[in-house]
This record gives sequence, C-alpha cells and structure tokens, in this order.
Amino acid sequence: MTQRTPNKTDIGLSDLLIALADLPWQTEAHKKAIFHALGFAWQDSKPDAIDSSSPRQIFDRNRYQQRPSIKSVSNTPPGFSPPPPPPVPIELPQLILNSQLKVLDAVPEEAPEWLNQDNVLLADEKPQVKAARANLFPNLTHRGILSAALRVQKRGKDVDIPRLIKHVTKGQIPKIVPTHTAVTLERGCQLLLDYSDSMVPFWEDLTALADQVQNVLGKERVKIYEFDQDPTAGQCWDNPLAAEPWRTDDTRPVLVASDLGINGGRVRWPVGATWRRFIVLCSQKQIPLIVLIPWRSAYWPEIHSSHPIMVHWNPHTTATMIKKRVGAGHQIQS
Amino acid sequence: MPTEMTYIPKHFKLPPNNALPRTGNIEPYVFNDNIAIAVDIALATGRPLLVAGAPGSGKSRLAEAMATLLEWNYLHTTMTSRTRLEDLTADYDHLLRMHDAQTRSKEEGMKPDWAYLKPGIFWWVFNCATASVRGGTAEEAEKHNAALDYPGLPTQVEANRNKTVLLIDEIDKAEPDLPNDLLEPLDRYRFTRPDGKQVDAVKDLEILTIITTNRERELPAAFMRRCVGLVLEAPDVDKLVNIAEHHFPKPKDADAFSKLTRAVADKTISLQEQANSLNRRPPSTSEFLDALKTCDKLKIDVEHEAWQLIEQSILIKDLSDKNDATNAE
Repeated sequence: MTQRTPNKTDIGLSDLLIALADLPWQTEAHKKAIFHALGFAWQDSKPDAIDSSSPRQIFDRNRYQQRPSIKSVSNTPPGFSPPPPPPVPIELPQLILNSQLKVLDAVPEEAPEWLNQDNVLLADEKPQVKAARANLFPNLTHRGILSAALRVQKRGKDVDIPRLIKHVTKGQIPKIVPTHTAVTLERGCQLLLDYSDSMVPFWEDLTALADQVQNVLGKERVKIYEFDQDPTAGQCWDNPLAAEPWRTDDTRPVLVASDLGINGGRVRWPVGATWRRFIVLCSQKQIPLIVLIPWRSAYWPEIHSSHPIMVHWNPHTTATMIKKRVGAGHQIQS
Repeated sequence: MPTEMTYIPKHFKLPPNNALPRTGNIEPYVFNDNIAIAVDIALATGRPLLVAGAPGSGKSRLAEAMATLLEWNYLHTTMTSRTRLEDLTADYDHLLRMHDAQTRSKEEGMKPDWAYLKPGIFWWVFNCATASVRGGTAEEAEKHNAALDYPGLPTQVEANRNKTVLLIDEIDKAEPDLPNDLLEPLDRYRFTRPDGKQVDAVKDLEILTIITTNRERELPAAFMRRCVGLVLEAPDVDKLVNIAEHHFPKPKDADAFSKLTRAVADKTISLQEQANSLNRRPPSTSEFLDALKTCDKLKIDVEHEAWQLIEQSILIKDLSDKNDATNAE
C-alpha cells in the first residue's frame, strides 16, 4: 500500500505514474482530480493536425530542399574565432500560385448586422495569456525577507545551559529557568501603504506586497492601513463601512511602503515634516519601523534618526541584508 | 441518502452509502470523489496529504474517519506558534531533571538521561515500542518509572500494529520555517534525538499522514511540493442536507426535521454568500450542524424570532457583523 521510499524529493512524474497506473480511475474527472491532487495542470487541448493534402496550402514543405549545414573553419589559429557566417538565404519555391480572390458583390446600402454586435471571442480562438507580473520582492525570496524584517524576540524553550549552570554552581535556584531567546512572527505587523500620487507607478506593487505579507504572517495577524502622504493619518478598511485610524498603542512592528515623497527626484532634501513626526512617534513608543522604498539609497531623503530601518524595495534586496540591520529580531513591549 | 460517487478507491474500502456512521466518539463523515481520490493517491504514493479548507469544513475529521475505516492506530497533534520540531520528535524534560537534581536523595540517585526524554508524535509513529520506554529497555523503564502509555487511539487489529494515521492539525499556525523542518521525518522516516542517536521507523511501517491548513498563511513551496493536495470546498444546500442526515439519522419527526434541515441549510448558504461579499469568514459546515441541533432541541424553525438570536450566536458570531450584513442589503 504505502511505499517506503526514503530520501523522497518533490512530487514528480513517478508519483503521477504510480497514481495513474495503480489507481482505478474511470472518468476524465477522476483523471483530472489525480493531476490536480499531485500539483500537475491538466490540459485537454490537442495540437492541431496539419493537413498536408489540402490544395489550399500556400507553402508545400515537401517541395523544399533541406538547408545545407554550416561547416566550421578548421584552419583558424588558436585564440581566434571566425566571424559568424551569414544566414543562409531561404529558397522560395518556383511556383505561380492560383489566386483565391473572389469578386465581391456590390456593397449593400444597409449596414450588416454584425457591425453593431458586441465583440465576442470565437469558439476556436485561444485567449491571450498575460505574462505574470514580477514583484519587487520576488516570490522566491519574499518569505525570507519579510520574516527577517518582521520577526520579534520572545522567550524560547531551549534551556540556556551555561546560564543555568552558572546559577547552580553559585548554589542558586533560578526562579525562572533561563532560556535562549527565540524569534517569532506570531505578533504580526502593521502594514502602512502609501497611495499618494507619487506612488501611482507602484500601486500594483502595494497590493502584491499586502498579499505577500499576509501570506507569510497570516491574514489575521496583519493590519493594513492606507494613507496619502501622511502615515499618521493611515486608515484601516477591514470594516468597509467605517475606517479605523492608525494608533500608536499598537506596538507591533510597522512596515511602511512609501517613496517618502521622492517622486523620482535626485535632490536629497531632508525628509518632510509629516514623516519626521511619524518617525519620532514610532521612536518614542518604541515601535519597530521598517520603511520599504522603491528607489535606491541615492534618492533617499536625509533622515536624522537611527530609528527607522530603511530598505530598498527591490529584487536585489536579500534576507541577509535585512538581518544585518534588524539583528536577532525586534524587541517589543508585550 | 447515499452520496453519489463514481470513484471506487483501491487502497481502502468506502463505508456503506459512502458515509461513515457515528462510531463511538467518532463523528459521521461523508465522502465524495475528490476526497476518495486524494486519500487513495496518498496511500498509493506514501506522500502526506495536505488538506485545505475553511474552519469547520471537516479537515481534521477526515483523519479520524480514515483511522476508523482502515482500523489503524490514530495519533494527532495540533500545531501552535510555539511548536518546534523537537516537540514533535524528541526533547528533554529539563525542568523535571532539574527538579530531580534538587529533590532526589543520594540513595535514589539521578535517573539516566534517556529517562528524561519526551517522545514526540513522530517517535510514536516510527517506533511505538521504543517510544513507550523512552529509548531504554523495558526493565530499565520499569525500574525508573519512565514507561509511557500510547498517547493516541491504538488499533484493535493486531496485524495493523505498525500502521498509523497521523494527523498534523493546523500547520499554518506554526512558525513559517517549521513545515520545512518536518521534511526530514516525513520524507526519510527518521530523526535524530537530542542525545545524537537516530530513531528509524520499523520496517513494516505504514503511515497515512494528514496535514490540515486553514490557509491563513502560505506554506513553503518546498513543503507543498511533497504533499498530495486536497481542498474541501464548501458544500451546497443538497450536500449540507445529506451531511445532516448522517449526523442525525433517526430524528423523532422525520418530515418536520427534513423541512427544518433544508430551511437551515438555505439560511446557511445565504449567510455564506453574504459573508463572502463582505470579505468575512463564512459560516462553516460544523456551524450549520450546531444551528440545526439547536433548532431541533428548542423546537424552533427559521421563521421564529429566536432564530435571529441563533444566527447571531452560532452562525455570525460577531455583533457588528449582523448590522453590517443588514446595512449591505
């Protein structure tokens, strides 16, 4: 029944073969369910058959001779490579094609019915598949980056043996068994998203970031606030009928995605008064603050504070870079 | 009413009418094609089965039902944000050790280190015999009062002694790295104890590992690629009625109960649609069964004014939600 195969890796074609060969599936729906359960997509489209006997075929491949192969130059001295050969010209068939054109009837005075109909996708047309959008934190690395940025310290379960021994050797029994510090994401975070005009090019990235943070921390652990230029005026729309303002009594880490009003300008001005107020508030309340900026550090405004952790919101940012800034996790008041 | 199924599994036998009746403390469970196929694949390939669905949709109950159907051992653990891999494999009880160091007399002496090992769920699954004596011998375990009882439901079939259904519940509640930590015990059927010794599974071991997730958090891709997937969709009105019939097979007044069941099922589906449109958590199958049980006990139908209170307490579970639902109409 269950096959003990140690060192198993990802589910692959062998698992699919086992399932298809071993299980008594009968219908297409069963087959589709097997594919889906193992994480494979099921496509039921068949490739179009080429009808080579059709007289309407424009180009007859059977009459075209094979292209001559390109031979490499063998007498070149070492260290030199010949220039690439020119492309072989395509030989066109020596055919005069019969015209397929028909003489049209006179144009009717009344417009045809189809002219005013809605455009519909024809049954045999395949819808265009849009290319997937790349996120500023790629799917492969966003878990590590966000975990490093948002983890907080907590009391761990692993006993700190050296500290315990120290107590015992002194003849003291500690009231609490000393343990190593652990890190956790269970506290969640507050996510502040800047929807001001200067962030318009990044609005889709803001939505994607919200999804990524919720996927890593859990939807119920993330409170999302939206603001326009002033982060202290951020509002949460969990209840679509009543906005909840951002408050400082929530001491969970704050992750802000904003351009800080840079708007692509190269002059490094000091950060604006609204941002200064926000940073000071977070610093006074000891709220960890991480700011994701879609522009590189050369564009960042001057912030005369060590409190916010500024991160370039970019595919080249790594979890290691974040860990160097955050250290062993944020310390927050419980 | 039997559930319509077209798939007949190879590696286990479906119950009559495709629904497991109430068996002791095990609640009834209604199977469908998707569930049967996914479980059959998991048994055929030896892969863990990752079951996703809304809370109350029957994910955890599937493990109990399969253990009952297969007549295998049943072990379960529920993950929390504090769960570590050592909790599931083996860890030392440092507190007890320190307590014994302070309280045991010289004549009694300290117990050996292995006597302070706490076998986790994987140890019990891989090798129940050594887990029960914490890796020592039976005589030593008896001497040091270190023997342990089986923490799950053992099978009553001798031939199935080394066959276990293991439920790892709510894996999305654990810290994000933990699912990847589980790959070694799940893939290789072994792990390393804190003292460095390895625990290997017995040779004729068979496991059906069922892992549940509420999808509140994304799981690592490396973990997902090793699991067979099953999503339990919310049932429609007819399926809710079918489920209720199996949970309440012999009502006193069958006609009246049947009408009540359909009315409550209609209400539940309507509330689910409202909740989804407001991006709230929709009422689950278990909540529907709770509401039905309450209506039957209190002799109330959906037109009764007390139903409004029932909706609020059982199905909506939030005072503000009801006002929002009403205002949104």
